[in-house]
Amino acid sequence: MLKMAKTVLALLPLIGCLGCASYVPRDPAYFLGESSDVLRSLEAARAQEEKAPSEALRIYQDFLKGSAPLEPFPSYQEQLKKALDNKGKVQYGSASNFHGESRGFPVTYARWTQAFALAHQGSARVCLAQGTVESAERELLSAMEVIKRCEFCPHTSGESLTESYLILAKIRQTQGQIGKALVAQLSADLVRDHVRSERGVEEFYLEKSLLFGDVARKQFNETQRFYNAVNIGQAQEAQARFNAVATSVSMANAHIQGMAAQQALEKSGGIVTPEVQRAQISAQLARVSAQLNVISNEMHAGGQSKVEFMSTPWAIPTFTQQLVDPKQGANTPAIMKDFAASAAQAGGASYQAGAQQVNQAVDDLMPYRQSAKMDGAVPQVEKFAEVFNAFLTQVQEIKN
Amino acid sequence: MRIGIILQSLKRVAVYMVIPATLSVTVGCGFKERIYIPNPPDQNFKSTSLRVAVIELEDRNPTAKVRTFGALGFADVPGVLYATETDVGNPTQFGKCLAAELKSAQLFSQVDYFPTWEKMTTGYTEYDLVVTGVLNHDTVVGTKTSYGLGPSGVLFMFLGLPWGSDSRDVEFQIYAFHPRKPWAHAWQHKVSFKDYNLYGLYYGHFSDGRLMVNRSRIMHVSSPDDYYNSDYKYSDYCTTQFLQPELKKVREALYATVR
Repeated sequence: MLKMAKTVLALLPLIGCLGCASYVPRDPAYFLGESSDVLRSLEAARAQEEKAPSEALRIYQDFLKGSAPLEPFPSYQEQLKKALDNKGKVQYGSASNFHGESRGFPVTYARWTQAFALAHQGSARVCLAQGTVESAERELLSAMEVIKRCEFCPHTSGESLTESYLILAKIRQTQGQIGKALVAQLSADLVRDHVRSERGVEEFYLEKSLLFGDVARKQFNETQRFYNAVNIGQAQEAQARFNAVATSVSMANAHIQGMAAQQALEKSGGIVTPEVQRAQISAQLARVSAQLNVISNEMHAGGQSKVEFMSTPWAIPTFTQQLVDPKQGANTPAIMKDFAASAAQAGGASYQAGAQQVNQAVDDLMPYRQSAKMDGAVPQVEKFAEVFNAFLTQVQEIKN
Repeated sequence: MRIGIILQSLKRVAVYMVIPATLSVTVGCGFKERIYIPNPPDQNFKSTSLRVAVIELEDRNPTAKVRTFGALGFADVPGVLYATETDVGNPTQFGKCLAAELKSAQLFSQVDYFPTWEKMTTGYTEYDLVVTGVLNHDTVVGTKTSYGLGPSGVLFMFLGLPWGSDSRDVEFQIYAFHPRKPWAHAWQHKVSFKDYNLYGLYYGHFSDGRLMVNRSRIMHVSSPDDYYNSDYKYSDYCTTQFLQPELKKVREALYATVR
């Protein structure tokens, strides 16, 4: 009996060590790594998609089924704040259960958003190749919806939307809906034009500075230090860290809000410069765009499918601005005219008149593009919208 | 023969216990920073007027599968054969070391390093080239083996069984783009290196016999004196002996692309 007890006693440290060997703290660093892992595995699946489509589809679907659905960013920020608040009040070892709130960091949220979009897009591509077009359409719609949730990653969203529109164009071609394929291609070209515009480049750097800037880094590091302090039971240190974390979380929030607001106004220091005027008109145009979206949504409620609405340029937030501001889209007029020409060619003689009207409407907007003056731009864009919508409705009917 | 081995072992024990203790008293702790030493400039290349901004790499380290930082001490508990400590996700600032290399190369008229992207939101037009990248992983694994305090443990030690090991596996991707065309990478290059150091009674020592433990190579200690004299407050983890040849290739490849 004594011998057995001695043996057990001798084995205890070994058991203890095995236990400690499997310990993985769920701290902010872990979740940053987790978001990297997720992206890496989906990118790897994308790379092998052509060689092993079924395996790639399995990886995409496993990810989508195994991951909690993505909520809007502010809800994770709220969860993060609450979690930190709770952890600030509790004792030793209590911080080991960080979970959903880990998406409350801009960088982790951006990666998860990207991962969801990649998985949906990948599923859409494989489904299309396998002939299940309805599933492909459904997946694609999810990809387009999910990427828009990352409001502070305009560049990544733009790149992802371009890819989604290109896949949609292929789906429509497969279905023999030539007109709808042309519309999807137009949307892809317009988004790409914006991504590569002067404003698009600025958005790239803004996105990077939000995700990998000082504020984001400070928020992350402070949270990690706070976590470590709580986890090892340093109550005073933890309290001090908590205050720093609370400040850094609010700062990160304010930073993102600031980016969403009109930056030209901020830069000018209140002086109404031509740049500010342009930004104000831009905001007005955005409202026009939103109004048109409402009309399109009503169309959607009246029978047009959501994916149809999503495939039109009106679903692109910058579309109207691109028409009158070369900084938002350097080649937008040429892209519109190319679309009109291609549609007229595909549709035949009855489409010529509509195409010419679109060309004329685009030309009418040129003075605004060429000069910084924006007086009268809004009614002119509304006129363009009327002409373009009529043509768009006609084009969507073109079939093989 | 056996006495010789014992004497040699005793000498090593004395060296790695007595010398550090003596030095810490006489010299004091901490007067050196272990930072990357770039390659000297190459006179065969002509300098360009390009202004280069180097921005720190994006940390894409994976999660630790088994992360037991601080667990090595368990190996000293009687009955425990070994303990493993994995330190995955070391966010080494390779961008900073790359900037030092590019500056030292004297191939570009200006090389500025930025740890974050803020400056670029307004200042990207001030540069002709942006160099940045992704740190895929920087994984450090330490193991320690204990053979017990009884006669069997001593026997295993003298037989030369390993006392432990340190390994490091690094991979990062660097790319460059024109500041106005961030979507199009003009150039990219992958850098990777691995290091593995097993140590025991008869191996894993510096040339003078002193034991190379405690992640000395990972913290790019270049000589025994450096190891024993330096403090441990700061290391940029850009191990000079591994990075120098890699970053020389990087700077030459980048120059060949943009000149």
